Amino acid sequence: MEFKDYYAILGVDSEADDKAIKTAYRKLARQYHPDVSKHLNAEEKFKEVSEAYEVLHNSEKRAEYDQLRLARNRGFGSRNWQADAGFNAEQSFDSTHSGSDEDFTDFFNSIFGSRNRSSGFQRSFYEDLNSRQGNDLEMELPIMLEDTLADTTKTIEFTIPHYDEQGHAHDIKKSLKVKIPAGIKDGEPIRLKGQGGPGQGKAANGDLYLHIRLIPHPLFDVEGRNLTITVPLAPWEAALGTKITLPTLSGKIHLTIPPNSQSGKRLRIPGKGLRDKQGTGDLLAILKIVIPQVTTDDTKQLWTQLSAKAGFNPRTEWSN
Amino acid sequence: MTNTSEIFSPDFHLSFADLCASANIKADYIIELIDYDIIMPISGKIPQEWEFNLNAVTIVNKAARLHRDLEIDWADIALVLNLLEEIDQLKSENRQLKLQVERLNFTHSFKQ
Repeated sequence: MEFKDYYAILGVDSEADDKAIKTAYRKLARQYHPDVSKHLNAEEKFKEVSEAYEVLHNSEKRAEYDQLRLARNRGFGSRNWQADAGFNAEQSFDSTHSGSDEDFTDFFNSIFGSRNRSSGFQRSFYEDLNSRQGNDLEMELPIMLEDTLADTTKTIEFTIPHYDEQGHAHDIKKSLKVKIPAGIKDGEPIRLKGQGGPGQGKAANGDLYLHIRLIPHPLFDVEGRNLTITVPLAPWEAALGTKITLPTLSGKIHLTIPPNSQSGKRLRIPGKGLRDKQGTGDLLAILKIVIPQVTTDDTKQLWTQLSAKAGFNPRTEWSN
Repeated sequence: MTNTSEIFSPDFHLSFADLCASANIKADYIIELIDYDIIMPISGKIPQEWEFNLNAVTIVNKAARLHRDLEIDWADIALVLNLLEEIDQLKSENRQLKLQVERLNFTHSFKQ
């Protein structure tokens, strides 16, 4: 097991007083708290910082830890800190859960036991700790836009880090089939009752909350319940009008491009957007005129003829 | 082994008792969160009639973590949560707009 230098984690020296430790913790907690931080590995870093603070701001725990640290530094530690068996959640999704002893490493639990957090807040804020409901888990569930058109079933796999009364790690691996209701929106939660962390004693398991994330689509963008798609057109298609085959979320359709269509014009195709409680949105085809590379003299000549005959000045507004 | 689970979709509503049990937090604290507009019942005039969106559990848990870990007062948590939500919305909009700009700027070139 890897020995953890809690002083180094908080960036304070071993003589630091309570005030310095608290200040260091607050600074790092604000920096790495998973609810506010966008740092990579913020959650792991925050757990490390919390664990260090939990020990160093408590005089009894700090004294016990200092003794171990001293013994280790003198080279005759009573424990063997060689194997690195640190905390490793190996979760399939990013997840956060309510603070608990399960956030702490084997290292902490081997010294202080798994049920030895001292926070007065924990005792007063949460319901009875000894028969406490299991932690809620929150995970993101990425789905494709196509998955929102009809009820879909997804299989999810995840691991719940869990420590028994003796502080031994027993990760719980779960595999669940989840029904995703049609019309679900980005960010909406699905609650799976009893699929979170195990309860203590006779208390119920926590719940699992899946937050839906719509994966960006290679062709379509989402605007509320409408979808947009960019339609590249040749200049002559925009000028003369044409019929094209347009991909939609539910298959291909034929779309008529009217003559004299400007770049940026939006053509509305009703009922080909996303579903919600009010019905189905529309697909908006945004036209974009694309100029071909002129590679031959013939083509260049045709453009020149067109230029001479059209007599078109696109910048008339500037001449006033 | 793959199990199926009792599922509550986004339009499921929680009672006040459900919310306390699910967030595992004392009723007095939940009432405090309501007083500070951190969460709001979507219907009902008294606690026994209150109903909450599923999102309320996530908000309560997040508020509890911020209060506990960063020692932020409830009044400030309302502000922090609002700002975090606004940042998320702006980031999402920004991502969406960048994608659209990329599509519009993408130049097609082909040989005649």
